[in-house]
Amino acid sequence: MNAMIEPKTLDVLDNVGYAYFEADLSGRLTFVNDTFCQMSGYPRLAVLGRHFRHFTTRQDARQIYGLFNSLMKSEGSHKNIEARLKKQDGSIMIAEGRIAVLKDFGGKAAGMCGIFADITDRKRLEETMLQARQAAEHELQIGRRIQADFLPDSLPQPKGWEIDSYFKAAREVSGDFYDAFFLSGGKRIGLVVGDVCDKGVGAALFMALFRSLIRAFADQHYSLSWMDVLSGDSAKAGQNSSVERRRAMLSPGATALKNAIHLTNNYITKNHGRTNMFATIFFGVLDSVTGSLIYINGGQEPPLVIGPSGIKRRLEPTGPAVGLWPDLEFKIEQADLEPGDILLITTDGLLDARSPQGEFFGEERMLELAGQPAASAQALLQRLQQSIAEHVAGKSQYDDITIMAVKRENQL
Amino acid sequence: MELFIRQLNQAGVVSITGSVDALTSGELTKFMLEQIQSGQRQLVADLSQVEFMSSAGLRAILAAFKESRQQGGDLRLANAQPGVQKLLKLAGFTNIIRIYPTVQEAVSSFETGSAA
Repeated sequence: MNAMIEPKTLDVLDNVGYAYFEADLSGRLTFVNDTFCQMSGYPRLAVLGRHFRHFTTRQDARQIYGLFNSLMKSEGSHKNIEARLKKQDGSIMIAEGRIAVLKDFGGKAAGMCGIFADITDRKRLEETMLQARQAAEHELQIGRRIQADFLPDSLPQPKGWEIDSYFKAAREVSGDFYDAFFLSGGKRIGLVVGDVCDKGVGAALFMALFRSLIRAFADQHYSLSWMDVLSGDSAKAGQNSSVERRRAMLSPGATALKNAIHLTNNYITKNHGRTNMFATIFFGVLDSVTGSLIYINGGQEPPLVIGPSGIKRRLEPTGPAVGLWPDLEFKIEQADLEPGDILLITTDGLLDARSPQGEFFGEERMLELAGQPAASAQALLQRLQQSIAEHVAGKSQYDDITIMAVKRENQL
Repeated sequence: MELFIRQLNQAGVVSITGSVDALTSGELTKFMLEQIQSGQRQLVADLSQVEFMSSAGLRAILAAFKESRQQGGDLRLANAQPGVQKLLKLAGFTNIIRIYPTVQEAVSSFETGSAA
């Protein structure tokens, strides 16, 4: 039986590698082109007169029935389809194509026609890529779980203080970190917020390293003579420091600070200088009895000391980012947290958070929100969190966001 | 991001156009290191067309700075936009890497023989 389409069209279809078939209204194949025969492995005579369902799976046959019936009800001119072709050797070929109603020369429905191409290779490739992506995501999930181990389970809550944090990684693994731990003696608390440069697995690995080095070096009891401590601050300390300040500089807390930052800086530059990795780090040591905070700010956005009537002070950088160059100087500065004050430390992910229109959250907005009175550290964090969520409005997060709030309770 | 290098006296002036972030910083690092390896150890990075830089960009600059110093030369920065200048200052880069308001001044600083 001849095809109901022109020979020229049949030639074209064969040339582009499309199989073509026609079937009568009962579904029996009345014509198949050469490509159909090549693809299926059947000679033409073995195909003609047989129902099309013999050349596909039961599920796909049902699919084709359904689509053809809806075409007969005039629901569209053609239907796209993906189905399996059962080849003569028993193997399966994945086909993608179209079916349409075959009309006779009077315009009446005479059966079904269709074309399809072999997409088996493409499908296999898609499957491989999907598996590879799933494997990679799985690894990242593992990385995330392990990385969570490098963040504190719970934050110390010394008497008279509330310490709270908000942390949201942009991806499965992050370069931000925060930490809070008692220094030996149990009165002083180390507060750390850090941001490793760049993104991805590299930053995440160095996050673990920086956080560990700072903790380890802060814990060490290196005995530095007070001259060593002061000489790091050079002439400036002698010029305008009060007795209070000098006393603070000499405290064991200052030793922990100096050690943690200087030793970490030297360790990273000497052992990992080739990677050029560095981190901006704020490390403060809080005396929970007096409210005196001594700190080193290595390149972080200035933390804020917020009082009942607004922002009292910005704790500007006292040194560069950590890991740039060996033996760089990091000065120690001091601030007092009065009853009712909140210390707010953030990484730049907060300021850099973008709206769907590409607008940054920005410093102004953050300062405005931070300046309003907050009942607790938690309340302040919730206020910021909500504002970020509204600003970002569902857009995917660009950078890790880390915020720590430390509130000194009002004295009763 | 686009990169372009031209010779100005004995310095190679690298013009960077666009955003230097996690996606483009690798390319910048590679370009700068290639220049240094091919003998151009005195470099000026013209930042006038850099609209945005992230910490990944800082890392690229640090890499080029260290390598140029290693080879007896230097990397100096010029003409940073306010946002980038702020970032460089905050991270403490301005205390380690020389930065000038104009490309001409940065190039001249090599002439006066002010060593690295």
